[in-house]
Amino acid sequence: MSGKRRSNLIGFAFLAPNMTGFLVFTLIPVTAAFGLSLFEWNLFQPPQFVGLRNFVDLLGISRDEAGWYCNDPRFWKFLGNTLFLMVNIPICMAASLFLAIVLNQKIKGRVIFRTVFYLPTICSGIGIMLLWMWVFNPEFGLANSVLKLVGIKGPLWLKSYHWAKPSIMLMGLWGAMGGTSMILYLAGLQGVPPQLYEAAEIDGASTWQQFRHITFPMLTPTTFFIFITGVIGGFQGGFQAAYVMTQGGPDGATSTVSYYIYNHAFQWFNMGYAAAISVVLFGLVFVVTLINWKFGGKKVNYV
Amino acid sequence: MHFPDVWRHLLAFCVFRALPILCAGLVLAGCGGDRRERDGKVHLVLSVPADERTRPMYRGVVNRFIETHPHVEVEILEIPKNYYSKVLIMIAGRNAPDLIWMGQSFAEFAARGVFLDLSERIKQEVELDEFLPQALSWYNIEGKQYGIPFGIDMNDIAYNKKLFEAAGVPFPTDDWTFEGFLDRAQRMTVDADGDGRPEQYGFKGGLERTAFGAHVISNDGQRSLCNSPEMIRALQVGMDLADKWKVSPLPEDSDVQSLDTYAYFRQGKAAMMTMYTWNLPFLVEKCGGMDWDIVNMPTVKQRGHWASSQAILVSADTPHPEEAWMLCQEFFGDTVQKTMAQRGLPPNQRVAQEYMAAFKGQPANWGALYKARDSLYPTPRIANLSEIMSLYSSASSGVSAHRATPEEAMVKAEKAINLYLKRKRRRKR
Repeated sequence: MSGKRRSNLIGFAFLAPNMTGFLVFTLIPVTAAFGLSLFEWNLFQPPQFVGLRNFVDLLGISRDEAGWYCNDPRFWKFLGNTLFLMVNIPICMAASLFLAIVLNQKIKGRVIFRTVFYLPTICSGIGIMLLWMWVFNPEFGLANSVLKLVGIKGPLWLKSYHWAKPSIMLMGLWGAMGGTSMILYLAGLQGVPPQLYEAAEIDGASTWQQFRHITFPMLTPTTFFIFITGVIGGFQGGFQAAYVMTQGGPDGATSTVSYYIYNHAFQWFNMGYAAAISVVLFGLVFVVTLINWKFGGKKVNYV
Repeated sequence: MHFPDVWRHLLAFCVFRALPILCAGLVLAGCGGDRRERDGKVHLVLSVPADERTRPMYRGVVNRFIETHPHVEVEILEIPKNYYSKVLIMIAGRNAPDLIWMGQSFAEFAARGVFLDLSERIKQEVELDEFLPQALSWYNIEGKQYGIPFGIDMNDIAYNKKLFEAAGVPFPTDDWTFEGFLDRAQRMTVDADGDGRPEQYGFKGGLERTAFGAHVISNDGQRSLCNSPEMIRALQVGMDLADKWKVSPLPEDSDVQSLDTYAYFRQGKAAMMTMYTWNLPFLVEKCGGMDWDIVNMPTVKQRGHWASSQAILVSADTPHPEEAWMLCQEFFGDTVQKTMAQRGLPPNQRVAQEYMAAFKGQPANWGALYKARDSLYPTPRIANLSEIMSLYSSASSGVSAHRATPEEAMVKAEKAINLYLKRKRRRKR
C-alpha cells in the first residue's frame, strides 16, 4: 500500500465514526423528511403520495363566500410567534457582550463570577423551566410577590396572552446572557491586541470611543458567528418552553413552528404534513442564512 | 490532494467500506431471534402509563397471571410521561407491544387499525350485563368491540367541610343545581380586607360544559357544535365566576388539573374545587387531616361530568393473541376493578355497588361517582380528536385570556374546525 493511499485510509478511518453518525442520524432522516413531505402518513398505515398537497394546505390561500383565507392560519401565527421570540437574539447578544466586558476586567473573584454566570447553561433546561413556572405563578410566584412589595399588581405572566411571550423571553435572557455567547465574547475580547487600546489612549480616546472604534469592530467575527447561529437556533426554537411551560397557550401565544411540527407529527399523527412544515422551515432558515452571509458578512472585520 | 480526489476517496470509502459494515451491523441486529419467544416461553410486552401509585396494581396483576400461566412471561413497559407519543413510535417502528393501555385517545389509534377486534371472544367469554353499557360503547367502533374498560375517570367537585361548617353554609348535595352552587360559592368567598382579592375563594376550577348541554364536536366527528348558545353560556359562566361574581380566581381551564388548584384547596384558600378522580389517592394522602368530601357537578341544563376510561387492549400485530387475551381478561376482572375504585368508578356495576356498600374511608360520599354513571360525557370517539380539540382549546383560551368574547371565540373555533374537516374530506376524495 502506497503512503498516500495509507494516509487517505487513516484519514477516512478517523472520519468514519462521525460520518456514520451523520449519515444515519442526520442525512438520511433529513432526506427522508424531504420525501415524506410529499406523502400523507399517519405512521400506522403505508404512506400515500399526495404530491404538493401538504404544501398547498400549509402555504396556500383559498376563497369562499366570506372571502379569502389562509389554508392554515395557525402556521402563520406560529411563524409570527417564532419571529417575535427571535427579537431576544440581539438583546441576549448585547447582554452577553456587556457581561463579557465586565468579566474581562481585572476584578476580584472574576473566575467565580464567570462560573456563576455560566451555570444556567449547564443546568437542565427542564428544571430551569419548572423553576420559572413558579417564579411566574400569578398568585404565589416570586415575580408578583416582589412587585407587590413595591405596590404593583403583577401581570398573569405565562397565563396572559400579551405577557406570555415576554415572560419566555425574559427567561431566555436569564439563561442565555451568561452562556456560550458570553464565553465566545470573552475569548474574542482577549484576542484584541492591547496596543490598539494603548494607541487610542495616547490619542485621547474615551472609553466609549475605544469600545466603538476598537472593541466592537474587532469582535465582529464573533458577533457574526453568534448572530448566525442564534438566528438558525431561533427559527428552530421555542419548543421546550411551549412543551414544558405553556403547552403553546394561551390562545397559541407561545406556540412556535417547531412545537407545531411536533404536534402534527406526534400528537395528531400527520407525519407528512409535519415533514412539509420542516421543509418550509428549512427553506426559511436557508434563505435567511444566505442573506445574512451576503449582507452581514461584508460588515465583518477579519483584521 | 485535490478536492475532487477527496470526494472520490470519500465516496469510495462510503460505498465499499462504511456501507457494508453498516449493512452487516443491521443484518446482525436483525438476526437476534424472535424476542417474543424466550426459552420456549411466550413473551408478552404490556405497555402502561404506570406511576408510583398504579405500579403495584399492574405488577400485581402480572404476577398473578404468571403464577397461573407458567408458560408465559410478561414484560411491563412503564411509560409514565408522553405515553401516547411513545407508543405511537413503537407501533410505527413495527415494534408494537402485545397489550396496550388506552384511555381517551383510544379511537385515534383504533381508527388506524392498531387493535385486535375482540368482539367474538368478548361475546363468548364475558358476562357483559354487569358492565355499564355506555362504558362498553366507548371501546366499540363500527360494531367492533376492542376491549372492556377497567376504570372510569371523571370530574367532580371536592369541598372543604370544615370551612362550610365554620361559615354556617349547608353542604352541597348530589342533586344540587347551578343556583345552589353559585349561592354557596358566593357565601364561601371571603375578602376580609376588602382589597378585591379574596383570601378565600368559594370555588376554584371550572364547571363541566356538558352540564350546559355544550359539546365541541358531533359524535361522528363530522360537524362542529362549538358555536351554540349552550357553549357560549358555559364559557360566559366560566368567566363570570371570576369577573362578575368574583367567587373564583383565574378561570383558565388548563389550570384546573394542575398543582395550583390543589394547593388552593389544601391551604384552605378555596372552599370547593373541580377534582379529577385519578387525584383521589393524592387527596386522601395529602388532605388526610382535612375534613373534605366530594359531590357531583351541579345541574345546569342537565347533569354532566367529563369522563374517560382505561382499558388494556390487544395489538393487532401480536403473535400471541390467545395469551394476550387471557392477560387482558385479568384487567377487567373484579380484583383490578376494586383496586381502581380508589381512583375512579369501576365499570362493572356489581363491583361498584359492592365497593360502595363496604366503603368506610374518604371521601365519605364515594357513592357520588356511582350516582353520576348516567351523566358521563367522554369526548367523542373520533379519529382526529386531538387536533379538533386543540382548535377548540386554542379559541376558548382566548376567552379566559380576555382577548375575545365567548361569541367571537366560538365563531373562530367553528370556522377553524370546519376548515379542518373540509380539508380532511377533500383529502379523502
